[in-house]
Amino acid sequence: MQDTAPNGPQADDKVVLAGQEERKGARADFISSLLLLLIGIFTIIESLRMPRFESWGSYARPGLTPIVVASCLILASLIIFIRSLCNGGYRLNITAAGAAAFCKADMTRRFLFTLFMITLYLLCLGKTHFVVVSVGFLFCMMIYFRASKWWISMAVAFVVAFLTWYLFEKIFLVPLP
Amino acid sequence: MGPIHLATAIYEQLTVYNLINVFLATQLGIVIGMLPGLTATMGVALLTTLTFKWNAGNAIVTLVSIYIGAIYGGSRTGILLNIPGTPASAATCLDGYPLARSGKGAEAIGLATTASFLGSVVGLFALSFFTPLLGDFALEFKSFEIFWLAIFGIAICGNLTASKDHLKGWIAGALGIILSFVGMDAIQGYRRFTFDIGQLDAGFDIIPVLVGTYGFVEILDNLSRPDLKESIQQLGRVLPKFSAVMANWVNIVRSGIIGVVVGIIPGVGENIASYVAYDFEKRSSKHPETFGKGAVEGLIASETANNACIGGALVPVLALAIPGSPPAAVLLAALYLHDINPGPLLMLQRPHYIYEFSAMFFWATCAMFILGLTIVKPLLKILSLKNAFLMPIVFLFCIIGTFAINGRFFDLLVMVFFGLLGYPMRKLGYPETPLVLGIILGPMIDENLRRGLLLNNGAILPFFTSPISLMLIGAIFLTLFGRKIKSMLFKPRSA
Repeated sequence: MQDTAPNGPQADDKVVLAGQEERKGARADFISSLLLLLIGIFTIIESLRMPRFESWGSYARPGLTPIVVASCLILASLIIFIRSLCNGGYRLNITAAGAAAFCKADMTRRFLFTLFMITLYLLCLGKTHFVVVSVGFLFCMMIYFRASKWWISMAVAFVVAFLTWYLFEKIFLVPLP
Repeated sequence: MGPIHLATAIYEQLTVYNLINVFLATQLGIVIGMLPGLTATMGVALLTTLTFKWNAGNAIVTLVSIYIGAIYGGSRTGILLNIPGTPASAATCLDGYPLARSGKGAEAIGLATTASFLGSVVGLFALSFFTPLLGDFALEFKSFEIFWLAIFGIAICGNLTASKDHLKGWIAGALGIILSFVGMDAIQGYRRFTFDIGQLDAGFDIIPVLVGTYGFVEILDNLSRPDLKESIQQLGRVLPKFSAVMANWVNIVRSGIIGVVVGIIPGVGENIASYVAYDFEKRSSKHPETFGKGAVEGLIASETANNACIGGALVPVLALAIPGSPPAAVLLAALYLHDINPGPLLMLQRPHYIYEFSAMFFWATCAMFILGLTIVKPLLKILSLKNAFLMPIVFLFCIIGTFAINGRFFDLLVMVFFGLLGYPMRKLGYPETPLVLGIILGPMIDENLRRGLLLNNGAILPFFTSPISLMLIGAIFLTLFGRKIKSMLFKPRSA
């Protein structure tokens, strides 16, 4: 106790932070274990609906291994589920203010932009020439994430997209989308 | 007489033309291995068609060089970007990437290269001198043994990648196995979990899965974190100190032997070997807590094993005409294309061919070592690039690597699906690696379990009776419950 006394407030902060992390982890475990339980149950139901091919012997049925593995998944998920319940993970504490803060967070915006650009890129692939779509994708990503000045980003995007296309499609004869 | 034949073959292949061929092919292999999605299998397959009209000697040496270069090259992106170039390098990321993040990228690449070289040398010995003997050992692995080995691989992988909570690692592995059941089953051809989507009949191809769970997740993770440190100054030398390598000689020999043994078992390949060797090293280490945080021993174990596995995987190719891994299967086809018929008769028809083949392996290994240590500094510049530049470009390569395998747009969707699955998994503490390994080994587990039952009219007892099965069951039990048992036996007594 003597050793920790001078750092009392800092040590208290650490304990509070560790407690918050633990509660957050328990909430995440609660949700993930529920999802995994659903996946396990769904797998077993689907496997039981598969034909039995009695002439082969019921032990050769296509649903056998999925049932065994899904049972293991359910068992393991149950352990996590019970553990999260014991740690108070069922208290989700979802509030409107918390959800709004999450939506406004820089991390969420960056994540959603990346996802949007990737979706757009995949939608355009195959409909427009690979180099054109790739230059557009690379340039937009580099500009949004402030990689460098716009003309440097444009030059890098063009050089990378063109060289990649030339190397794979013309030299390695690998088809590109 | 074996060593003399080998030395003669090595000398005979020491020509300028041959060396140029070997160096160019190995460098191409390293580049293929480095690009996420392009694998050793694809590299060997691509070059098989391009070298079809060459004479057999030149063609085979090119293919062996590509194979060795690609398996080694996968470690580069694993260390630099936490995206393994090939599935074989997934275990390398565990310690290689933390080393690079702490400014020791040059040292990590140097050690990985040296370990790969030494692993290949162990594989070379096995290939040259024990091929007929080890070929017979491979035949000892039947349905039951392969089933248990696959389970063991996933259990170990779960342990290693989820050090805080092993259960989450095993759950990820089980989820991977379940996802591997999507598609037509191998015994009755029944479509499982396809929901009438025709493109799911063949199941999930491993490349989109690999690129999605590693590449796509890494891109999402890096670009969505505004606080991520973007540039790391790299210190240290590339060439590892002799003392550092010698300090790990037990690790190198053991990992090399593990790599060879796992390699010769048909169908298992490099993916398991690196994890088994890593686990052995972690268990025997005095500082197991450093593993996963940049332990040099872990990096050496993983890289030695996956390269030793190449030699091991080629043993049944030559002795029995049974490939030990997917790239070895393509190489086997290439051997047939060039009128070399591997199998039990090879020793009678062409008694010196094993030594000729081993000599090719030797030169490719030397080329890998030299190229691996010389072009490191420019590569390390990757780590000084801003993520805003690097990650979109990496995504471009992910797209190409995924699409190039089958030319199917559907594979791109699979990649995105696994990326979107892997991202929350990472955030919730479920490691991605057992998921990928589960997808690779799932069909093996399913097929061997049901085939074993079919062959024994449903009797389950034979799964537990062979000595190899018993050994593997013991190993699985220790992997799953070893820590619990240890803590129960050595519980500290309260005062």
